[in-house]
Amino acid sequence: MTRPTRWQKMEETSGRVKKLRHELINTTPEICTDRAILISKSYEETLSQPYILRRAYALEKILLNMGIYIHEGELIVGNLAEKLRGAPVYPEYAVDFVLNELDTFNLREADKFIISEKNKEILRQILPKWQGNTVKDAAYQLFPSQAKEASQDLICILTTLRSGVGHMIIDYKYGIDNGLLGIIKEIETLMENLDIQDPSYATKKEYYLAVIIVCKAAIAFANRFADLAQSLADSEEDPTRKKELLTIAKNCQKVPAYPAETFWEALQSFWFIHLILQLESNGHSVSPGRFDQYIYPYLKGPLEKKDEDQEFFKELIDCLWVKFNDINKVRDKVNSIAFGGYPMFQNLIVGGQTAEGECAVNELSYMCLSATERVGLPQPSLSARWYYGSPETFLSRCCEVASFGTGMPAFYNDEILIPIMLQQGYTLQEARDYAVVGCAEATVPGVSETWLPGGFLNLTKMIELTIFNGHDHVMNKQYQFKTGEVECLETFEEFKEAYFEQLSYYLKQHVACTNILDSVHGSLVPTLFESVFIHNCLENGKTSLQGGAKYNFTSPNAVSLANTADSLAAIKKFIYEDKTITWAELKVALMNNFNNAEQLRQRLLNLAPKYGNDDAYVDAIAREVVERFSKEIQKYSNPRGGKYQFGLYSISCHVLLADKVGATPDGRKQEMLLADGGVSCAQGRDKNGVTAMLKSVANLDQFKSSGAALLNVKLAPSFLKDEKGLSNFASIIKSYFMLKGQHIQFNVVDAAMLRDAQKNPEKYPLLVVRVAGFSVLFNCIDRMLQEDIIMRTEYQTL
Amino acid sequence: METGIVYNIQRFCNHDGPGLRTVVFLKGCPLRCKWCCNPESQSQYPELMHNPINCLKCGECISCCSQKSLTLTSTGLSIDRQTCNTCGICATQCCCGALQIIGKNYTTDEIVSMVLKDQEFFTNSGGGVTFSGGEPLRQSSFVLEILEKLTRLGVHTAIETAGAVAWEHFERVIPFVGVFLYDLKHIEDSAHREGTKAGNKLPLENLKKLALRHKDIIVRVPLIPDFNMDEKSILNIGLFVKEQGLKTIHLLPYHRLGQNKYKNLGKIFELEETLPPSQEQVDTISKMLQTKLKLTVIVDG
Ligand code: SF4
Ligand code: SF4
Ligand code: SF4
Repeated sequence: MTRPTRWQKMEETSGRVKKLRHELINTTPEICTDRAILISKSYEETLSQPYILRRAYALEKILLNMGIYIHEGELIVGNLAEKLRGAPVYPEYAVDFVLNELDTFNLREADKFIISEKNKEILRQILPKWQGNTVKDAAYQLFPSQAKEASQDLICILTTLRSGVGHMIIDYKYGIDNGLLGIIKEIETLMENLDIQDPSYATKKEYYLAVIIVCKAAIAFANRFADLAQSLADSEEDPTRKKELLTIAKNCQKVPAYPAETFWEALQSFWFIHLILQLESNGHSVSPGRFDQYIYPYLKGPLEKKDEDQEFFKELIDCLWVKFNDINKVRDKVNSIAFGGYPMFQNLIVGGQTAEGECAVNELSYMCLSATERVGLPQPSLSARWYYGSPETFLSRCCEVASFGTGMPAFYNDEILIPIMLQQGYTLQEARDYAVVGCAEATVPGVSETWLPGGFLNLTKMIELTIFNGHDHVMNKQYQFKTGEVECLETFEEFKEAYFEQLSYYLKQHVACTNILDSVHGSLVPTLFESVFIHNCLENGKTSLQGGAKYNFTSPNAVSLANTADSLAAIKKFIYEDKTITWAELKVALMNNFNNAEQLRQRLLNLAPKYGNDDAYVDAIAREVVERFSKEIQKYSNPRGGKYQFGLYSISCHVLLADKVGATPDGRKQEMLLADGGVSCAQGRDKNGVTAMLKSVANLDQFKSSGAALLNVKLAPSFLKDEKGLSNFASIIKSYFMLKGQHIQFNVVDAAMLRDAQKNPEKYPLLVVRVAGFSVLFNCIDRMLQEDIIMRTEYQTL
Repeated sequence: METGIVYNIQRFCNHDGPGLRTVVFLKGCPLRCKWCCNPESQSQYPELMHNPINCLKCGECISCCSQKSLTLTSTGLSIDRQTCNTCGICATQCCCGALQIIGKNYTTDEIVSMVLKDQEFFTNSGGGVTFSGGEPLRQSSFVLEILEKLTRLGVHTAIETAGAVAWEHFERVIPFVGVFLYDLKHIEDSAHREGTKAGNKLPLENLKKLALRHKDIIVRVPLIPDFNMDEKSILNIGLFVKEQGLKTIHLLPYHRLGQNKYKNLGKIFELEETLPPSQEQVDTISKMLQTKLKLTVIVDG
């Protein structure tokens, strides 16, 4: 029996949803100026105010004045920019790239944005005033010179230099259940009860005044939509739509000001809160978290009553799902490669356990899976939690949805992530309530500022810097930090130690920059609205970016573990054990990018063990790198009083960083990509099938990389063509999780279809593929990344 | 401890038995099927294989051959198989795996530990090990020892056989085999002889006996154009299967994926011109067996 295709599944949406989806997909994103104009004006008006109030007034001005719309057929309303899929400008973070790239945004091969001449003119007028006054400028003047150099040369990548921090899961339940008016009351009580002897009385009071302003502005923002819906209803001819518009008007009057009561209201309230978070800051990865848990109470009653229109509930979810794809962000050129395909990483997770340790799967969990299957768009980034007690039917349904090839859901393992959370200091209840931010980063919703965008460290570049004693032959540049001539390192142990010294050195530089950014964000762009929903910001009287959250971490990431382990293994074997290759020989070959040394390259590539094949020789090396990195990072703490942790994932940084690293001892030429994902093996090097690859990956102590351990696996659709394939699929996931893997996700697409899509993009407007911890429309990513996805080993049925 | 000659151990197989499996391919087969997609499985001795696609034509291998069997010509590396003694030294010198010795001796413990690497996957999927070939029952002592060890550890076992071995080899492994995948190619002796260079008395007799002794047998029929795809041949196979009280048939349509390996081994592929059957042809045969004989048919099992 052949199973339906993803395209057939996508036909199951209603006409309304099809239309909304069609409009969205066929709109080229545009850069919008309302937000930039309004925030510039506000900042001028509030020059002498304390910073925290300036932020509040700015957000208020935006919410009260930005262009809003309600699209034909929409059931959930609220827009980020004045145009569909539009991206506002956030001048407070950085303006240099916007000004420099104004004329080229529309020429980009990927992540292209159009911008009207009029808007260019506007931006040319207002943005220069921001120059010297942005987060980026503030941070740059503080960076120590060597740290700055390392980040400019992309040995480490800083991701919050030109953008907000984002990466949060707030307590949506608190907002939806209580309503903002209720919350304002709480804040007023806190303010009244402030101890006049408290030395930080003034800053706390300023903070309370500020959050009250933004909460009230949020209510007013919703009411603007109520008015708009009302006036649209007045002129609407079609009685059905008129009725819908009147309900929308009623909903927006009520939420988020008051507690939601109906399912529709709950979704609308959710959306306003979720939206305003992203108008406040452009940090991406604002993640809905455990949506199936906090929304379900609003659906349970109606679902039990058979007379309610069940199809309509589905349609509401579908409409919300389309909305998630309206959120967009303009990044600078470099970051648009590191984050290819307009990804917004709004991670929504279903299943797992409740805080009490019971099975959390409910009807809404299944409805979310079906919505992703039907709507077929990349957002929300859907994830699923698994534990020993998860129902087989749930896992099997997840597998079925994943088999359609959108890369969703991604799978997470409670059995290791809950212990990780406990080890981080969360209570048992909190730990069981974990959810995932962005790509693959587990955290506990509503209580933490995990500062997950802690940047990226290029592990493989440091192999190069060790071999050439701090000399970068790609850029022809000598760095100050040296670990000695490699010929003098007599044993592999000595070489490895030299490598770890390079690693610690650049980690130190990276932490220095990240901590500076942390302080700058806290003082220049504190996120007030966010802090209302992160405990214990209100009690502490400060935002989460200033250390108000109950738990605080910073989490940088290591990129290209696989190439690093493979390179170390090749060095160990050929140079130190077999002694069949000399350093002189290898160095010349690397510097010449293996020109005239193809035989040597083939030896390195084929005759040394490669990570991903269940080979203890190299797997042990990979494990050691992770362990050393973990030990090193524990030395550091952040300005919010929290510890550093680290993650293993790359977004699409492996593409960006690839040609910055010359040829490597694993046989990789400079123009070849670095390994994708975080713990995935290098493209095409896993020769023994999925099970062997998974054993290699599970051999890493993933407990140590508490920030994430992201694994991409590509399966051939033929593997999943029947029930047997599906059930084997589920057992792959279970087995990997029993072996203590954190996360796994699948691309189920055949190379032939992707090749065809490259040639005839118009045939595949809705082709969604998984990049790393996120899915994108294939047509929206650049050629290199497309090639990368095609090249990753596709496991055929054997 | 027994040892045996094995030419491949393939993990993560979705076919050849239930669940996820590791397939152990044993070297040596009494038959010589024209369509065989694993020509390297036929001889029971190690063989030298050269894959020109990977070859850099660097010549590294030539100087290390004491037999002077290798030469580099304008068309690539050429092997004089008359003088080559398959010592394998050249393969160790080849940097890109273009030269390989196919077939290696393993002890039963070595095989067991390699199979057990995927134990978690077997447990969760209901999978296990499948012995294939070649003809695994040609090395039945070796196979038996592994089967005993793995059965004790709860690993599901399967054997894929063409049945052309003395019954005693079946007899000893029966208690340790979860499922037999039994290849049946033709019912007529002369046709069988034409296609496989051996008669089919042994395979048919063995299947009859086995059906009385073991309840899990799946018959697998390779669909070979101009050999067994006519209605009469197919129905005869189906009837024979039914007569033994068996219910399931797997159809394995002929393909040419093994073609290059013939060249790489210095052998000749006789069916070079034969095209694989079309989807319709396979469907027709599958329907016929289902409707006329009420057999359960799975294509590509
Ligand atoms: S029985 Fe199988 S292995 Fe032996 S020759 Fe025939 S097809 Fe090849
Ligand atoms: S050593 Fe390998 S690559 Fe070089 S000529 Fe011989 S077979 Fe070809
Ligand atoms: S296997 Fe031995 S004899 Fe044969 S070509 Fe290679 S080195 Fe020469």
